[in-house]
Amino acid sequence: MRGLRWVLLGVPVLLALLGPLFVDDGPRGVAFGEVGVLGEDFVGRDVLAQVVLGGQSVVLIALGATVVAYGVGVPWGLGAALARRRWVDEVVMRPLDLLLAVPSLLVLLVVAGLGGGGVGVLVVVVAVVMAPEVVRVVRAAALPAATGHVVEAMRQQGEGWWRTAGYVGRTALATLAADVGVRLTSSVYLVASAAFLGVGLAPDASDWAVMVDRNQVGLSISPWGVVVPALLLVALSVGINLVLDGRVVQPRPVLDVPAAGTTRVAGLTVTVAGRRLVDDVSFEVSPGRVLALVGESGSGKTTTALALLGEAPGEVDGEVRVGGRVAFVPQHPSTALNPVRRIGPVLDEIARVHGTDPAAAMAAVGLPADRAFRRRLPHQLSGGQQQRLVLAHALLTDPALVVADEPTTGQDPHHRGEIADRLRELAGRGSAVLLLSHDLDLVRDLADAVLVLDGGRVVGSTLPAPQPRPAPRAAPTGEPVLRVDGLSVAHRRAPVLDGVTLDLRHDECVAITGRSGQGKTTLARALAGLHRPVAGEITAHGRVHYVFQDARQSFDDRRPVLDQVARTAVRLRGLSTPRARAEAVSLLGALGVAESTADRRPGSLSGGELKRAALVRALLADPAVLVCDEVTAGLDAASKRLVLDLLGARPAALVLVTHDPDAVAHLADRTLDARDGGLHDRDHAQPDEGQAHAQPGL
Amino acid sequence: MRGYLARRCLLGIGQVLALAVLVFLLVEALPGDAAVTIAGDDPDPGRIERLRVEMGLDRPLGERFADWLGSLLTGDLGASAISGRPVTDVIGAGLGVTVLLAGVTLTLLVPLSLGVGVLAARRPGSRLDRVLTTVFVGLHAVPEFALAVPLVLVFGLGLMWLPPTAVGADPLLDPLVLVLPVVVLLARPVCSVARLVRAEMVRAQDSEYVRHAVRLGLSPRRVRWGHALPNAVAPAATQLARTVDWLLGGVVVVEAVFVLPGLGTALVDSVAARDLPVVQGLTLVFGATTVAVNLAADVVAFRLAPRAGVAV
Repeated sequence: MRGLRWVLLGVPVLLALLGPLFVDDGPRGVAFGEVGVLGEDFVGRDVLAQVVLGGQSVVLIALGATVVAYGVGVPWGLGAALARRRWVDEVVMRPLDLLLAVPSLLVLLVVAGLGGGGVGVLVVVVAVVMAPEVVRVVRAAALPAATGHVVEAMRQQGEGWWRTAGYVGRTALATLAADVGVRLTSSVYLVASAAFLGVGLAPDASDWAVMVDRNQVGLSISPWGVVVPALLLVALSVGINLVLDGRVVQPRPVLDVPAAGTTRVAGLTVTVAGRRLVDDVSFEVSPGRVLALVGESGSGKTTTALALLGEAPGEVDGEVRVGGRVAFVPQHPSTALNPVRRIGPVLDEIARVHGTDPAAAMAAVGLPADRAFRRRLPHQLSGGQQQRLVLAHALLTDPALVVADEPTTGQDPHHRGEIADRLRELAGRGSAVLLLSHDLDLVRDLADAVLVLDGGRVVGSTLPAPQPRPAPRAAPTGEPVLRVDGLSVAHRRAPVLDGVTLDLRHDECVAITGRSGQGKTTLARALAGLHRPVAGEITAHGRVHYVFQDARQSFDDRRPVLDQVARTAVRLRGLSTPRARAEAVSLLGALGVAESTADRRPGSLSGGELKRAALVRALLADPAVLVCDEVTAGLDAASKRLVLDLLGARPAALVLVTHDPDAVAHLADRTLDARDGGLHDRDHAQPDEGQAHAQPGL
Repeated sequence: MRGYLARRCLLGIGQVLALAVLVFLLVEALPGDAAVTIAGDDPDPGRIERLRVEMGLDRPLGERFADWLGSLLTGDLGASAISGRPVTDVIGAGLGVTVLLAGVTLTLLVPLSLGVGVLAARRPGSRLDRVLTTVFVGLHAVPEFALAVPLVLVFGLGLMWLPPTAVGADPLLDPLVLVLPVVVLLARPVCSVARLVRAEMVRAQDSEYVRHAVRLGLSPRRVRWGHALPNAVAPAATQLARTVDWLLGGVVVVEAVFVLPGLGTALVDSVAARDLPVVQGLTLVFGATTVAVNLAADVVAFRLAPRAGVAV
């Protein structure tokens, strides 16, 4: 296979490049000369000589046109993607739409008519036809990165335009590499088709496409003059594509229905590449009971759950028996719901397979089952409704065991309470529930039994005691550093917060809490200048730095994390690179991230490590105000402790957007609740009882 | 949605008009005009000048365009500068062949490319997948004429199973003449669409929602066609739209090889003869087709990727 593709490409290309060295393009139209092995065409010209010469034009023109199209298209597309104002993008892109609507054939005919003929003209024509496509591809490929968190983080760090453009260009490179093959072949296609139609080249030229056109009349008399050039063009096109597309197709696991067993796990061991992810784990869950698997990230919780589903990676040893079907409630329900299927038909489909009643399942999770609701698409549901819908799916399969993976991650307290209630009901209906969580409050609330995992082993069956909440701090008295007056922000044109007023002193911490979708993140981004407010004024004395909620998406995955963290101090505080790195290393160390870890690329760091690195990156700017968006979410208990201690020392004034009651209790001097489009003071003396036991139902 | 459609239609009319201006200027910029074409082998400057006055070609550019636009508003596309036939007749003659070819090709294209794409994605990395992917990639860029000629030679002239060209035949009475042209037309689009369907199917099959559907006990067949495929067709729909646009824009190479006089042939002839009224008429047809097809594709894409929202 591999050899064939090089032969296909090699023969026509070598002919095109070397052919002219061996054969002289003798006087045109001289019949009855020396005749080669392929005979003569129907007007008596030697076919072999023409075949040897005829590849040069198509190969050179196609290459030249592709180079010209990229030379124009790449800068154009990158410029459009990086435009910070929408109208610049419009002005740059709209004329291209018009150009794309002109039939490419017409462009060929007209430009060739204008320029007469010749190789140069064909190069220009083909490049003009291809360039708008290249611009669109480049812009589309660069746009996600150009509007993404990494570019925002780089702008916050004070990186220059060129470095930012360099990063964006690099992210588009993979798409462009795949695109080159398409462009090159479509360029061969255009050149050959144009030549075949008599555009650009003389009708008696020694060119494969022109030969096919010219000799077609004599097809039955001397077929070689048509067939050989046609086949060479086929070989050229196929060869280019196969060689450029030569990446190996990775085999992937095949869809398979997991096997069922009984609800007993004994001596379970999962080994992947010589590492034991799960080591001799045993437990039993009986119907109606809730067992919680607790442990920090990497402790083997998820692998154990996957083993129950029959989806564990690597080698699985030990006994896994389940007393019926296992239902899995994944961590992020939004990814488990098919984005283009209406929810009603999917419920019916699952119910048909298992002979259950969709309306009953919907009622059991507290969702309406009327026609209008059933016609909704998953994105038209709230996060809590999605979570309950996935539970309804699980119910419909009549499961013996329900495995719930971190069901409360990223949910606000109201939804957390609701999810706890649903899981409790599920157990009440006779299912066994296996709960995987770091959310110790939820586990305390729900579980009948607990297994603590560490490094793949069972290390205990009791929970750590709740952390004592600190005494309220003395009221801050420092200078005001941030003043927000009448601020209104909108998300996709829908107003979320209106008339926000806030004063922040230099040693103060304000926590902003509230249910999801109330505009907390939008407000935080607006404070740091990443989001344009609709109205109002923000006055800051000193730098306001935002710490991204999704840390992983804010790091360039091709550079070591430490370099990216240290850049802040280089750009914003003018430190030398070694000094900036030293500072970064010491701060990272204080948060439990070793230098050797930070010196790797983001891909080999855990979510929690990146979260802490993002915090250090912001701290290195020596900001007056630090805006932290869910800075403790997804951290295990030990790391969270370190982060809270560090922030408790007040390296800057803090705006803390969070759902985490621990963070509020440890850090906040006052708490504002985002609801109904505004921020409302919450009395701090009385901890909010509603957080632990929210009312069920909507 | 209705407001969106109205806005897009207005924008489309604007685009078609801008296109008409652009093409008018482009053809105007070409050396020679219809008078030179009619004068033919007897290019006597005096005679050409007289012809120009007679045909009104000596009038200023703006005035002629305004005239054309004025009669367009009354629904009149004018008459060919060369033959004097009404432009609508010239277009109508080619339209039949073009629509027939496009219709037959498209009817076969959709099921074929979806089926082959899903088949290849069924077991990614398997022998079948590797063979199909190689064919998609390889055949995708072969110019139609280079594919047509060997086919004609083998099936038309060698085995004599099929007519080599459609000269003098009415495709409706003798559908066999359409077999080779449609096969040649299908080759490239099947590859490009099936390749996209395969890639998106592989991605969809690897998604959490497909794993979720499998865990819920749905049959692999239902999961493949009912859950994965609807998520895999959005990019293919865009590619299909471009294919429809290409098919309706006159497939000039296939028309030339098989002697099927469609719109592509009409365009080549009219540009060569500098027959501006016909070129303008064809531009309107092609422009309107492009706008309509893209609008349809965006509406379909909106349903297939509901979270992206409607982009204007």
